[in-house]
Amino acid sequence: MKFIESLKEQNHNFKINSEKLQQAESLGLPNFKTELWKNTPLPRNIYDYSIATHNSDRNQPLSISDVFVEPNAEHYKFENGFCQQLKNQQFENQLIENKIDECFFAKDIFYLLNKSIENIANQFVFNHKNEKQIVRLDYISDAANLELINLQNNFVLEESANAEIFLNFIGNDNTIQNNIFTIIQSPNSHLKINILSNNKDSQIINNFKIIINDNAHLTINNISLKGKFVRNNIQVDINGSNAEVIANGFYYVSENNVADNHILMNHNAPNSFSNQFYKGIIADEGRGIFDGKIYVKKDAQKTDAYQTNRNILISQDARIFTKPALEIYADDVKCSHGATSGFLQEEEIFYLMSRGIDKENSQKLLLKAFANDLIEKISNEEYKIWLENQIEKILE
Amino acid sequence: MNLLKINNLKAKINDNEILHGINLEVKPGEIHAIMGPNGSGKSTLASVLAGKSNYEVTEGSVEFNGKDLLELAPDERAKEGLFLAFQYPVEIPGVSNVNFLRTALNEHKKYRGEELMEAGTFLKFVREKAKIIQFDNKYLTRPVNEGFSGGEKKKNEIFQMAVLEPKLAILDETDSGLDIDALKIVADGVNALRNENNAYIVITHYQRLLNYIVPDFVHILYNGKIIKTGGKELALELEEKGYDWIINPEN
Amino acid sequence: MSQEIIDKYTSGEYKYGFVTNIEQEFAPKGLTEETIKFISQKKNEPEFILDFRLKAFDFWKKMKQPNWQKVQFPDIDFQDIHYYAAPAVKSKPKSLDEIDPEIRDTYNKLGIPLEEQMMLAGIAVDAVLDSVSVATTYRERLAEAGIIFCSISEAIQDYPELIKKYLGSVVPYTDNYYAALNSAVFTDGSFVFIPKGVRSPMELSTYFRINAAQTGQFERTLIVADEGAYVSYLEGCTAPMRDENQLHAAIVEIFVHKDAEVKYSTVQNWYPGDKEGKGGIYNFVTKRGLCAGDNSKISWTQVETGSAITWKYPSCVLKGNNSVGEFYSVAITNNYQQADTGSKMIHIGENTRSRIVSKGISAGKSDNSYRGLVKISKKAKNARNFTQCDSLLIGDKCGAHTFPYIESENPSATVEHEATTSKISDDAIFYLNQRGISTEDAVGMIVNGYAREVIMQLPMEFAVEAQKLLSISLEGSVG
Repeated sequence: MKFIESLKEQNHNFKINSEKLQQAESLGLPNFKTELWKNTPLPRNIYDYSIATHNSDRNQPLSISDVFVEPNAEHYKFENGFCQQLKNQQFENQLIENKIDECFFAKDIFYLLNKSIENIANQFVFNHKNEKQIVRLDYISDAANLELINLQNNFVLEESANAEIFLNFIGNDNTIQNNIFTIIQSPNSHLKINILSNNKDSQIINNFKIIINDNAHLTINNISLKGKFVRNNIQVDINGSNAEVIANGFYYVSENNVADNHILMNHNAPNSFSNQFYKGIIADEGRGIFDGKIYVKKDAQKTDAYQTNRNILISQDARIFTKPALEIYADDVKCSHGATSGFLQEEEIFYLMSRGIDKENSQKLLLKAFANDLIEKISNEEYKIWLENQIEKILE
Repeated sequence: MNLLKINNLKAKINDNEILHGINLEVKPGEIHAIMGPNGSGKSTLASVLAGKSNYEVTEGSVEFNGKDLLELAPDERAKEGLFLAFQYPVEIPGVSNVNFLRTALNEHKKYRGEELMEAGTFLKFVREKAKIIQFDNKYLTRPVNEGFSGGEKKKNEIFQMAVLEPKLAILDETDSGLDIDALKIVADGVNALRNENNAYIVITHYQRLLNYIVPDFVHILYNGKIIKTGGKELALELEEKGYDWIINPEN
Repeated sequence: MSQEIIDKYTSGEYKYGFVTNIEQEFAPKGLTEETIKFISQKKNEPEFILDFRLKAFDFWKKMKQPNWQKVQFPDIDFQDIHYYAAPAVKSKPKSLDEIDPEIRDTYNKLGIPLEEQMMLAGIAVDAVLDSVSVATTYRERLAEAGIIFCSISEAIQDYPELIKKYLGSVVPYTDNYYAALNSAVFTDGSFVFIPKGVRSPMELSTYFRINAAQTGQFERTLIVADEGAYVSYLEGCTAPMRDENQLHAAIVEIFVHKDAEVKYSTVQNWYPGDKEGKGGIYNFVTKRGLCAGDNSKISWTQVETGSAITWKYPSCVLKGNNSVGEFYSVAITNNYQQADTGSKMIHIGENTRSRIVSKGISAGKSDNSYRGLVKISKKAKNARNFTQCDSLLIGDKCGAHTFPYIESENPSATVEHEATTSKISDDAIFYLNQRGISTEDAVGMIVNGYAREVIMQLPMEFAVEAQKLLSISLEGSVG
């Protein structure tokens, strides 16, 4: 594996944790027997990728288009893993280091590979008590050669902080972004994370580890509309009571692309609420994967946790793999999950056609309605409208 | 001879005392109405008498049928002849009404040392009872309360009462959520089942139900205590003047 | 619910834990090629069966003992097991009267009289004690209808061409570790063949019983329904209480031709181990049916109350167009029991339909998992699946888990999965108490109501038995 070899060489500025690198190497690449990659084909030519550095050759720099521009947001741009604005703020992150290895994706080569590089972390701290802070981060990868880009960002919300974060992933098909995000929410904090992949060539592996405490509220809007390979691993540890987590997901998969979503909702404390709601439309030879789990620890009584995954396949060669799982060790809980896979109902199409709308438009209308059912849950009005327009364009 | 004698009953839930010393005597053949504003302890009283475990009795005594009621488990209280028509009847999926009632009735019979009822005899018996209270037979085979409307659930409570023939029935806001037709059916049922050997405690917010089930006594429960007792005219007066008149007599 | 009730419910005694004192003949402990040859010779088997066994054994030797995410137990020492134990009789009894009275008594105690009373019940029984079939009732009456119902050993002797054709056709020995083991050492089991157009006039039943100590039971059942045939088949199981764990690794294969239907019902009540989790049966079973022809149907119903560990996924391969697969399951675990069970529905043909209804009940310190797969392959146009999995938890020391895998490769298919987890509400118990029903009875009633949809799928006599079992498993465990 070239990316392992390139880290072993000394011609880079990375500080390497050789133990982790060794673990990554001996683990090797996953195969169909690896539960977390069971239905996910690896990006093509994965063996030939090396690690991106400061000096990576760049193609024509990618322009940032097709992202939502939130006017009030502080804006940061990461190019091939490095952010000019934060140049001097890169540091070895010890603060939350220990907490984050306890996650379902910890025994994964890409995670270990990322963790074997010790000086690629940035940290954002939110402490405003009253005012909401909005941050937009664009992750751009446009290296000229086959390169893996590793990056770690930490977001820390202090008590009662209120923040909204936009994460935009934009890449060419030479690159694979391999990111780790660690998020810690102190009591009473509110956070919205908007994850967006809306670039047709992107290859992205995101690992999110989120820890939330008493009375904290978290909303995740995980949207992938375009991208060759988009994988989002999300683990939320609910370590406090009266916390609330809403995880919304939408994926549109076309061509022979892959949208791969794994989410684990860990209820470690009593009296909290979570809801996972993921919807997907799979077209062409696309492949959609949803692997969600609600885990309720013994002490997490009075948990309310829900999970729904709905899919529509719109082509003969489309495929969906879904696994909504429950693992429950407390008896006084309300948990349910549901998953469906289906197609557009003939009756519905017929109904619209009987009102004078042609078949193609009827289908589009119904698909839009299917998507909007989820998009409507996004509370940022402008972002919602923007997304609806994007989806409309895609369905054209 | 008293059927029920409550003496200085105090009860709490989660360290919060709700009943602050209730005194009440009920004789066979009587109908008692207990009225009071929200949160006065009406439903708590019903639950404590039926033996719901999350309430703790801290003081006082309750004699029922010559026995110490508070010493008995909830099912023993039921078998002694105490029936509670629930304000919010529980749904029990998969258990048919008729099977459930047959089990219940036979438990009563076992307790009293009587012969158990066979399925066939029982079916005839419940059909009879259903007729008396105008309860549609189609509900007999449906799972207990599952998918029943609010009114159907209340009627099912009265139906169960008809089958189990209790000595004392406590109707806990049985009128809430009922339209006037359903209310009449429920009241007619109660009146049809009434005799000199059984007694009723009717817990209600409104005087309305008492037009149909005419009480011998009306008690006003306020803040965990019975603060006034009178005849049926007390309910009418209450309807006219509101609770404030009793709670703050100076005004 | 109060702690006492939970405790009381979670300590029920196993009714079927007696040992039958009969003289038994064993194969020496351990598994080698010699053991397999011994078994084969003992049973006077034709060459092709021995070949089949040896091939399976070769394959098995190369495999690793699987370990599963949610099921934990110490490694099994396969050299410490008897692979053959049989009541020592000179020859197979000609009539029921010739059966050892001790054995008959055993089955009477289990409520499985091998006598003519079965006539009244209208059920034909094949009773398997440890490794061999001891009696099959009603053969003559079945034979009149052209139905073959006998032990698989006899079938190998008498109908080798059928065995050759169907043995391993649904579950090949390469399927999994325990399937390979079973294929190598299976000692007996039942064989059913329903000819073209015949509806079995009675329900067929096998009763499995492990008696001998340190014995594994490896029975193999093969059911073939020819075109337009129908049969309802029942399986029951018990074992004595023993401190050590005993292994039961069975295979059930069902082959269903065009327009035929097989209904397979199991009430599994193997010894679950004691309150401390000592002893009990390891129940690792491979059950699969193939709907080979168009319009065929397989329906699995199982009530699982026993075994220390249960690992089984009765499955349907829906190959024929319009074929239907069903799986109805109630699994109760108590004390230290572990159950990992569910179903696989593989949709291959067009317009295939499947339905999964699973009700898990966990009490004590047990773990109960549903694990299932619904796979819609590319050709399965208009396939439909509906899955409902509910879990009920009693007490806060147990676990309930749901792992459904759904894979769809066809846009015209509809797959729906729903699941809920809940506990027995105190309000429901109080409600029943208030009507004069004791808490134990109330829990039993609620659990039976919860499981009703599945119980209703069972034939009448089995349903009554199952309801009692549910209550008994919870008594001493949950009422």
